[in-house]
Amino acid sequence: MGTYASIYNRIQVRGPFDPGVPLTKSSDSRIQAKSFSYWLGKIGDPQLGPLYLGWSGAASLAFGFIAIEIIGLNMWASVDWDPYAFVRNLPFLSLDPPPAKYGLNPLVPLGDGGWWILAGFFLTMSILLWWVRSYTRARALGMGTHTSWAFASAIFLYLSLGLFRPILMGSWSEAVPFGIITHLNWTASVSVLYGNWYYNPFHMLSIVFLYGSTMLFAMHGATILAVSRFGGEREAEEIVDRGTAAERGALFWRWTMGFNATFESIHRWAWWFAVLTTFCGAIGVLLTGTVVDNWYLWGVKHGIAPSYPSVYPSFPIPDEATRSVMQ
Amino acid sequence: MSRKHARSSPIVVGVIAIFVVFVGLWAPPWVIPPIESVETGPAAIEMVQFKAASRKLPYDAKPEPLEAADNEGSPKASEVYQNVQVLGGLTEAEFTRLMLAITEWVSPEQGCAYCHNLESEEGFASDDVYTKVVARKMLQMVRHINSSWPEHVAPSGVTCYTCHRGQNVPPWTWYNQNEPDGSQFMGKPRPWHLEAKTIRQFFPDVPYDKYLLEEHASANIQSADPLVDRSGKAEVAQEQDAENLYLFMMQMSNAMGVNCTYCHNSRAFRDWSQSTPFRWIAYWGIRMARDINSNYIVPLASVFPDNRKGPLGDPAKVHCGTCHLGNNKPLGGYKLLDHYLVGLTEDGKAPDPGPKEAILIGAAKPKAVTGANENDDQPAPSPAPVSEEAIGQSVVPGGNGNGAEYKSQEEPADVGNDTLDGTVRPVPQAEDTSPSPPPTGAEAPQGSSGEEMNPGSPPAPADGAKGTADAPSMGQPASNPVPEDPSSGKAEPEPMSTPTPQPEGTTESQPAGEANPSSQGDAPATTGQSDSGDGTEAAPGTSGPAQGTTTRFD
Repeated sequence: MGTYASIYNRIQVRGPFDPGVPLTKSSDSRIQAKSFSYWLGKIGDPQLGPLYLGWSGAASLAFGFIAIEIIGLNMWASVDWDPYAFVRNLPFLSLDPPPAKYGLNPLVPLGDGGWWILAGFFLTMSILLWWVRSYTRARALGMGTHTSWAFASAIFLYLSLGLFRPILMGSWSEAVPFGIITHLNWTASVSVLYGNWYYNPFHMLSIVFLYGSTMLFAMHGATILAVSRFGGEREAEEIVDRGTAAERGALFWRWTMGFNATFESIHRWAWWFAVLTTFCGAIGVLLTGTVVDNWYLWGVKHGIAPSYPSVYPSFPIPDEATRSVMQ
Repeated sequence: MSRKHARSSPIVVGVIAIFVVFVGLWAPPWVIPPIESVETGPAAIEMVQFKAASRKLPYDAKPEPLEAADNEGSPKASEVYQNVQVLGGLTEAEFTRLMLAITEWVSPEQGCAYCHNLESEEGFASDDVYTKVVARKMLQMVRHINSSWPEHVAPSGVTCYTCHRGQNVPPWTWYNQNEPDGSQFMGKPRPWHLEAKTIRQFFPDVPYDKYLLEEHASANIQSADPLVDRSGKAEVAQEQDAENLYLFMMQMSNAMGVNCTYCHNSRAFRDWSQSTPFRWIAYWGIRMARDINSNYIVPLASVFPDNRKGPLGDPAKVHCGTCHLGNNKPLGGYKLLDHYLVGLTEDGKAPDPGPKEAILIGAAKPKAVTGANENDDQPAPSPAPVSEEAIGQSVVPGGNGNGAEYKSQEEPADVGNDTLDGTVRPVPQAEDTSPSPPPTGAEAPQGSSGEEMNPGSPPAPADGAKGTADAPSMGQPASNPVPEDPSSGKAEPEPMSTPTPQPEGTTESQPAGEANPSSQGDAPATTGQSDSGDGTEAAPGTSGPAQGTTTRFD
């Protein structure tokens, strides 16, 4: 199918409406929306529907809606319900966790972080229910649950930042605020606070897997498109029934880099890289402040932070400046 | 149907794309290249300052000094005028010249009447107008800054114009802000300036009142140990404190038009051994701002009318940008003060460049070095051994015979000699009014002896290191001693827990502290001294700033 070989999609597969496989007994009924979309067909399947909501999907959407409402209304309230200011300043508006003085107390005044706890609860419930949905729907179709476990890795990072580490540190104030700029500020200041997060080896691993994921994705997508003229878009068949598409793709990579993944293993490569990105990140988060206080000095201690020649004359340090705050 | 789509959509998409590109090029205030970049650290670690020649700074007009006064036969100002409390020792001619200059700097539109009630019976002597009372305090402040803070303001010093720039109120100031207490039902606001035009103006003022008043938060937020303390003692500050410091530092960068690496190596912000000497200058600048705010501006709160006060009833206070206004040297180091030394300094001398020179050429030595140094017994900081294969040849510093030779930069690059001079040594005033160039680190002598700033330049004064060389302790440089009289507003109450006095000359953590009671106001510092174990660790090292930062590991 050479029409798949270009880097943009020139064809749309438009058949009769496909209602999907029969439902299992435990399922609710599908929402039978039936239509086709030309523009959706540009980027994917033109068929819309049927949709499946179910109890977990409905509850997840409801909880998610409540969380977004709490966050949005708090942001709007912080600009005195001015719609213009809300839109204009949206990147800077924020819903902050409770200050440190409350520790892990869940009963915080609403205006002083209580809304953050509520929003976090509803958002977490929404995400977990969406995970349930991804699991049960995969089972209902007789699929494996690989997607659910990959999603679970991302949820683990989310919970490490907003729940597990604050509990380990004994204060909600350690958690990330809900806000566009403010969560970036949190990231920057926490990195500096713990002596430069770039020396956190789990942060390093996370970046390796993140960048590795993008590279694997590019390599795999390019390979499949490139061999589609030999039928390579039938990846699943070629895993077990290797044809010339698979062999040409394999040979290409052996020629260019001496080794090739198979049509089967490349998907495991990609899955593990994606899963380990967030998993390693979460481990790095959980170690910060609980085991390691200063990642730069940790790096010096273990020889991963090179020393550079000093280009400035040494000078006496003001006395106050060398003392740690807590001593 | 689909055939029609296929024909029109590329045109629609193309028109939209061209429009977006046009808006993207036209709408933002682009800086036109070339943008000059100067590396200020060792090779390959990206300590770089950027400077766009096309960027114009606000309020950067430089006033001409007035013609010198003819002092011959001129009587003292106090003999001619009534109620001259600060400048009475000047000759009448010099006094009048300074008054004219101040008018030009501060109230060029309103003239003398901005401060003087000319219609009252007392005439110029009247203190009726609040601005005159403020101006008197500000004169005392300028004289104090020029004579007592050479660590920060030498050699150019400051004048009224450094902050005022022809405005009645200096353009960049700050007020205390109402911090939301969380008692509202919802929507606890962040203290951003939501009316800001640029992203830099969004930064809130909250960090200023945390760091630029006498009662200030500690900026030592990082731990000195890699691992968490086994006793569970917190060594790292709260995240909210870190964010406040982060914002304060961003505002400081903005105030001076530099980035983090002007002072810090951003990989280890706290480590003084990797910082540039400019961090030392900024360190005293922060303390100077505290001095100004707490001892000169806040006491004027009862003098100012309400329309000059902030939401919490405090007068407009200074931060780094009040003088700097986007320039790493205010007005590019323009030495206006040299023409008004008699009135605007306490001793008639320009600020002593000695302390800065000593820092910038590395001649400064901590006083503690003269005593027994307990740090000598400690092993020098060094990284743990790493196998050679692990390092790889790219970072092995050369000479192993089987790889590309990597030569580390041992000395600062020669980027011309017109950069740091303005900071540490008088230079002829440049005609150029553009922002002064970024730091280069080029002042370390190359082929010159240690006493010379540049090859062939006269040696630095032998006693130039006096003051800053004495490892100034908390809050007060040794060249800026606290007045004996505690009522002068400079002294602070005795601390709750005064450490036992220690003999001079040891390396315990307070080399100059005994003579300096004002330093005791700093709570963390005081507790640090009373804990002898930590005091040893925190004492300044003899061989540069590395001690106490990377030495001790668990």
